Amino acid sequence: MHGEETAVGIVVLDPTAEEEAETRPLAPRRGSLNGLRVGFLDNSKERADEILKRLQELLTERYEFAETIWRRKAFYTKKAPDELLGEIARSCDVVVTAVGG
Amino acid sequence: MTTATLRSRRLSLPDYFAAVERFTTEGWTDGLPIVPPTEEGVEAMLAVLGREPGEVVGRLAPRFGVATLEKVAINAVMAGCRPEYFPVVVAAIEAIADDEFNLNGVQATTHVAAPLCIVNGPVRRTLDINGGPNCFGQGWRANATIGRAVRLCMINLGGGLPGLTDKATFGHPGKYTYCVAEQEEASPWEPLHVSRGFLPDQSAVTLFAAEAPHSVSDHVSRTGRGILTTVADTLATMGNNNMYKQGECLVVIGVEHAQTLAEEGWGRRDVQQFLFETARRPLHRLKQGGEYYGDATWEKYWPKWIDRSDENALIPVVSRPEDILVIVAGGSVGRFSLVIPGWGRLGSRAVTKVVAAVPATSATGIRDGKN
Repeated sequence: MHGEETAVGIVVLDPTAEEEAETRPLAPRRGSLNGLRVGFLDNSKERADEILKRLQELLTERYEFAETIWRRKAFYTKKAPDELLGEIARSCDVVVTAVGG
Repeated sequence: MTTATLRSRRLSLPDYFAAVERFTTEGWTDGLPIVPPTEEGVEAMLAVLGREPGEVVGRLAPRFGVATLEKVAINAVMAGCRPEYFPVVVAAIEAIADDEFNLNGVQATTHVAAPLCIVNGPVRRTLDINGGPNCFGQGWRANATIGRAVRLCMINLGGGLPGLTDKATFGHPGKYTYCVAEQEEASPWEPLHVSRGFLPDQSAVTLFAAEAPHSVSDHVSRTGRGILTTVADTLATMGNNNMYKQGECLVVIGVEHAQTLAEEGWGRRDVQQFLFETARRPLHRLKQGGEYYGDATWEKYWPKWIDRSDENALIPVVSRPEDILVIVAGGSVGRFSLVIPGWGRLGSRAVTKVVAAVPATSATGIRDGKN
């Protein structure tokens, strides 16, 4: 491996994972929610559902969704399982999520 | 092994002090000076296990950095570990990387929780890991540096950065280092790891996301019921996450208290059952604050068998007797025990992993008379 500084006195090793972050493009933004399948992902922390229900009310006053899909994480402290994320990606055009507290 | 097998980036620095400053500036420490991880130091650490440096121990959340043996060894050198401590550190990293432990939540939570490493089996004596006087305090290199190595891995491989990804409102001093041995010799019961399915001659670590220790002073009771009543009263408090979110908690029975329990013939299961039935608070009180969220608390956490219509119903601090982990530790003098509340049932459970055999030549750190 390469040394990054020239003065030689002590050679030490990098303690970090040294992993390159993968860059991924954002999903395309939607100009309108009309006719879209809209998902609401509740992270299951207290009152996240209240925030999302209110958002749903406000959004449905302005748009007509093709479908409304609700999903809930089992634990708010863990990342959503890959199966759940995959299922949401397939069944929704747009997803709104909220973190309770 | 040759240095060519180590794949980490090298940094050439003028001297020891420059290395300490550089590592601090990079955010690679816990705030205390580190031992610079030279190739020689890291190789000595790896040689104890004799396995490939690139072997993956696990991925550490929330950054999900890959913890290879090499990277764990680098952090263990930084923490000040002797090479023979390395198998214990590796087992601890395996434990926190296990999905059951939910390191993602433990690292990121606003709660104080930190992984406590409880060591059982022969390695306690081989490495002089303290389970005796002042066992949660200073003075033993193995306790101090093994716990610190776990934290440094959580920082450098897991990416747990205070105020950023580590959102702890307070944290606690155990976030520098939090490692203790069970004093199996003073316990009337089988060691913790044996109660969790391992063999007495195996060494194992149990990692538990824990608050700081809270002292239980009972210098008066001369009966098991009396001692455990005081323990139960200390456990069942409104500010304790367990009270509302259940999960697991840890009770450390002091040596004098353990003697009383042994004389009366209490088994570990008896202790757990008594504490389960006694460490309770009435519903009307718990509704006044803490983390009472009405339906959400009933649906997600509290046991189904509680009569929700009864304001005087008693809510247990955890949902099952076996969720109260019990060990024996501490000095031989003093009628104290400890309670250590957990993080709550938030997708994290205590996880036990076996420690790989440590070479016999490593028995150089023992200090007589301190265990």
